[in-house]
Amino acid sequence: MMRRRNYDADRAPGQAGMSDFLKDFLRETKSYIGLDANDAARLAAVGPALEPHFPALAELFYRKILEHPNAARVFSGPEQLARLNLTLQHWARRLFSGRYDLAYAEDRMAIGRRHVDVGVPQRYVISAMDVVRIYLLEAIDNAEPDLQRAAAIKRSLNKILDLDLNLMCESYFIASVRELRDLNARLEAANLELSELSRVKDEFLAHTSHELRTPLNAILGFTRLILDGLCQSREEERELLGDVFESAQHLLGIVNDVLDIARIEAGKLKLSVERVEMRPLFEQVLAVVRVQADAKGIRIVDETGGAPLPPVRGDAHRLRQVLINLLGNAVKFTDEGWVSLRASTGAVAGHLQVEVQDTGIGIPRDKQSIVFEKFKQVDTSFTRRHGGSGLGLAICRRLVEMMGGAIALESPGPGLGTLVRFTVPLEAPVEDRPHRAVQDQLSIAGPPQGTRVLVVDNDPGFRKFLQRLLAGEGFAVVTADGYADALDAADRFHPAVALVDWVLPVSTSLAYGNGIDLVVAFQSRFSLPSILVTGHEPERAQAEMARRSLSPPPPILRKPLDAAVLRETMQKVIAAHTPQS
Amino acid sequence: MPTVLIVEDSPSVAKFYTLALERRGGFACRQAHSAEEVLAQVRSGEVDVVLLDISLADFTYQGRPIDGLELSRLLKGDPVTDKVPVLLATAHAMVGDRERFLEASAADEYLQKPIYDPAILVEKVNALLEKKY
Repeated sequence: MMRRRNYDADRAPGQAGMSDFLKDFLRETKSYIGLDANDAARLAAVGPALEPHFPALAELFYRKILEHPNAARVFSGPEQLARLNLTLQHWARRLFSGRYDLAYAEDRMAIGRRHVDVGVPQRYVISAMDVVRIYLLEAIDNAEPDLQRAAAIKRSLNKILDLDLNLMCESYFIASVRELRDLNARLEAANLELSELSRVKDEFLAHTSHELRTPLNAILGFTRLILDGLCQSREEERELLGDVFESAQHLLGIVNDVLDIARIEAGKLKLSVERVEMRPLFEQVLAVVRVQADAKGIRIVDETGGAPLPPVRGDAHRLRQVLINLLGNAVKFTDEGWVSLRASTGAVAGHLQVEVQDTGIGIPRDKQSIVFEKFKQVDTSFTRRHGGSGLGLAICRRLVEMMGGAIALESPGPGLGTLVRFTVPLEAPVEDRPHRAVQDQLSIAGPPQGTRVLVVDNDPGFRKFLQRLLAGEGFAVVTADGYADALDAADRFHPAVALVDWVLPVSTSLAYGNGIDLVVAFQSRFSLPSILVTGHEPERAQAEMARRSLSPPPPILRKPLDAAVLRETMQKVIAAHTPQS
Repeated sequence: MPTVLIVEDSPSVAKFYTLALERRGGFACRQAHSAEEVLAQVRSGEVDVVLLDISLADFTYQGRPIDGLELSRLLKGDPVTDKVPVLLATAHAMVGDRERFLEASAADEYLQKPIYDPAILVEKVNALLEKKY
């Protein structure tokens, strides 16, 4: 093997310094192979005699190339094949030109680069060169009757073919260096992301530690005072015990938040989803929040009393937690004015929409997107006005999403109040009636006893395509075109796997009904594994997926779908989900 | 009777400090709820020790938020108030916080919350008073 030169990664093709690099490479390779002026002269002399063989050589060679699986991507018609044939003859002619200079080397490297671009593996180039070598050696035997002279020419030919091979393979080496460099850059980016994550966690730990110590200080301090006999009366003792109790409750709230987020992160939080009446829930929660509001002189406006509210599907305990959190926040961040609670159906198909609005401090626009992220508070400085775990909204978001809803926040800006709205699926989506009439009878394609697949895509053409493809492979297929339909179908059809398009119709200004939300809802509500399908960059879907706590994360397939890949992925997902007996 | 100025944003913690220092140490206690109030009280010469929290919700100085570290620097940077000992009390208790905070605040001493033993609190304040005189 040739000594591998120290390759300067910055001197990639197309950049300054490339021709210097190539000059050195050519000189070193020639001297290593032992290719000199005598060889050049010998090859130039035999060239004309071999000329008649070149068309047949080109034919042989490109037939070899066509065997490669990637060839169809490049050589699709007779025109391109004819051009390839001429290129190969031209190449063979240059092999015997006797001029092996920089232009020659650049030409060879360009050929190698094209192979790399098309995706032809290096081993194919090497074996194709062997085919050429054997053919030409034979042609020389036929063209040169003098055995000694033929042997000398053949030695020269071997040298020039070695040089060619080295030049072409160098392109592969350069490409792999580039790939490594890209990979390295991606690794560095991932590393940066990890250290940012670790920094956020450290900050969270420091913050949580601070928030835990403050109520602990009151609890321990007051009990110590009482135990040390420093109280002057029974009444004072009782008063301090009241303070202890309040601080302990505050502490419990923080501990619960931290545990909740940890459980959600680990995918261990289980919901018990059932039919829930919202009215009693609203009343309970408002009673709790009114106490806090009265103490601050803030009005609580209950606007949920109008039309009767249909029942929802959710976890009553967790819905209460979300409401307490949102209303509690509204009171906490409002110094004067009111906090209002509203609920309506019809704004989002198949869902109840709940709104909590206040006249409080509001949220600057640039911070509105981060408040639902865990460990993030708008203000983490020491002058921050409002204590708390900094996890409340992050927990609300996860809980709402796990129940198949969405949550969003609006604030015109600091001092102008905040509006938070979230959705929760209705038990029987009333305003979805025309849709449900169609869906009432689930229409199943394919053999009914086949493995059940639910296809969710808003593109009717693609839906039809998948339905045919899967039914043809023996699956029982039901399709749905949107969020509510999909949940309904999952509930009644009990599929083994769902194929979900990332982008689903958005029915309101809320970023609601995203396919990833659906995947999350499928997993939490029906333990239904999904495969996410997207026509967009899969990296974006992946990044969004990473922010949700899904274990295992669903595979992502890119459109257009490859039937074999789809089949294989479905088998894997179903197998992984089936409990081992 | 030496006077301790308590600067603390949690009402229950401030209440504990007051009771502990009055009953166990026999000090007189005062509280302040703005940076201007703190500066005025210390300048008046009626305060012997400042017990100062680092996180100060709602505290402003000249209309902008201020924390305990900066407030301490203001006190230590004023020749009228720089002799009054400052005891930092904070629930920020990660490794390295003590050194970081003492340096950033120019305060005299640092206590880490939870501070719940009245005896220790009184002892710290007494030690600072001795240093002053």
